[in-house]
Amino acid sequence: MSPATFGESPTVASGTGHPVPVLQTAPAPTGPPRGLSPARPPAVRALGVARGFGPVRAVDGVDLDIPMGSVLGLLGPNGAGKTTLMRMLLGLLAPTEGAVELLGRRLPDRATEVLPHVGALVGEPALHPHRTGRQNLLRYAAAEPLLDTARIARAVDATLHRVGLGHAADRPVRGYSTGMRQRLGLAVPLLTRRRLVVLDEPTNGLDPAGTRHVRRLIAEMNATGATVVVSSHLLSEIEATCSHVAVMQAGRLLVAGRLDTLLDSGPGTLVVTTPDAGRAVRVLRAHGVGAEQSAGSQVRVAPGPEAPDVVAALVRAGVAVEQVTRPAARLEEVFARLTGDTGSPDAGSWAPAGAGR
Amino acid sequence: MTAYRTAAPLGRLVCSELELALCRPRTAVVLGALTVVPLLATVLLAIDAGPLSSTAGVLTVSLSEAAAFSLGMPVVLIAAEAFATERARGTLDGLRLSPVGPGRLVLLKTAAVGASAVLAAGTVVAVSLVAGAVVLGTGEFGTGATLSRALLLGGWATGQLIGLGMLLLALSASVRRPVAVVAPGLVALTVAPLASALWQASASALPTGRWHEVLAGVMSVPAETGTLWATTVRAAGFAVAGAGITVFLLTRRDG
Repeated sequence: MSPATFGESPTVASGTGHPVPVLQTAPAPTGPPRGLSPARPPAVRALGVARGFGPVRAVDGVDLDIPMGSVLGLLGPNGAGKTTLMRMLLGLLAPTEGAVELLGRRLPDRATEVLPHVGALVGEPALHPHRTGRQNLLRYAAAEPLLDTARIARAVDATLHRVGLGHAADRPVRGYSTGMRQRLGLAVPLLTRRRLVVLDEPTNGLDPAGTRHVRRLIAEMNATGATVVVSSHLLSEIEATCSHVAVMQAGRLLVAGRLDTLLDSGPGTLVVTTPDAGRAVRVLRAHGVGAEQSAGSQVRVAPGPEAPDVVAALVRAGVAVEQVTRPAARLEEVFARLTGDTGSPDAGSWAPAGAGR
Repeated sequence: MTAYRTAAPLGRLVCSELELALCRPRTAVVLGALTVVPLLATVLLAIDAGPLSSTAGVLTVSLSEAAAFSLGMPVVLIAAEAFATERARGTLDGLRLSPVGPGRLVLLKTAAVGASAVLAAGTVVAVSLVAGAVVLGTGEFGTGATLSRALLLGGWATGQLIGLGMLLLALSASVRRPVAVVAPGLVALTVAPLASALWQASASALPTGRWHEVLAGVMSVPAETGTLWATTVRAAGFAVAGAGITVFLLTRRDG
């Protein structure tokens, strides 16, 4: 099996074997992944990674390369296997099948060599409630191979201020709000300069200001050369933060690629500007095309029909058409298309952008 | 990448671990409670004025009574927190990611168990010596013999607690709930001495068995230390087995 690639076009993950609607698919590559020089290995490489829990396959044959220096958003409904995959990428969970390489080193054999360069926040922030924020961070700092003993206190202080907890550093964590705990959890990967940072829903429990702060931190880490892998339920966050995305569903990787390429692909929604929007809606619906009036003179046409067909149908019915545009798709739209999320409660527990948790 | 250090300095890790395990109000409360036993024993022996009314007698009574429950409590709590609590809180994964390997993890937790055993046994022995000497004097043994027997018993008790602690550490590495460690620990500390009295064979099998036999032997004239050394070897066996099982549990898949 070969990893999903990060070329110009998003490609279906070869390991899944499932065709991805809308997106163009590519034949499974046989050589090194496109866009990557053999001399510069991907920051993360998953080769046919699978993990079962009893009869359930939480992750099912994921092939994925994450290029160095990218910010990858890992998307998927609850239960898609994102956290399980992240735990396997970090060596915290052993795959039942497949292999993982971090920064060009195979896990678990070379874990001690590579893990000092990897920071992570996976799941709930791991903290001792009876200890202060500073004490919690000092313990993690003591275990960091790359931190000199003489620099630990200064590094902890600086990190606490960086995540906005300087004022609460000496309070027991049991008195922290959910957002403060999340910030403290985020401080751990920030203790030293990393080459890879894996963050599982880092904006969980954060208010809008905290969310913006995390976005800035991710950008800062990336600017210093770190590859960042981040999962989130907030599609708007992924859209604002990430250069690449990977979408999972039911343990399988549906697609992985550059975010801009993913958004440009597929049919998207047409927007028709017409002085007779109400009539245009009726005409299109009579043709079996989903349409709704979105603003005074605008009609949004559901993905499917091509622009010339829509214009022809309207003109034939005597509806004047001033303009037809195809605005770039929103990630939420693309995600729904990929996962077949109808928005019904049975379709999964996906939270739309801005909904938080 | 290989030019970088791949593990934090061990001394730094041990200090951090001991601070986490011991530097908290609970430690002071438990140790404070342990001082009550020799103080109470001193008062009772002073009132009784019998053959045990000496520092050595205070030591014997304190260790035998404290062994029933309170002496082992710090060790049980530390062992429970070592892996079960850390796993439940997710902090164990944080250490593994740093990375701290299984061997080092066991070393750190052994240091915490050992330190708690030293503190517990040391507190009882030290308070017994001071309170006994002040109130009752050294009696027939004299100062030198009393001190040497106190050191011998203190070291032996520490070893027994470490043996128990290491077994509990292995249990802690295999569960996610601290109570699954504390409950068997309490059984070992409370039921075991009773079981030993009722069924001689259990005294050999249980980490807390044969305490009274050892104490009586050391305090006799001349001292009888055969049981002391036998139980010390047994405790060492428990410790080695506990460490081995713990390393095995941590290195297996998803450990």
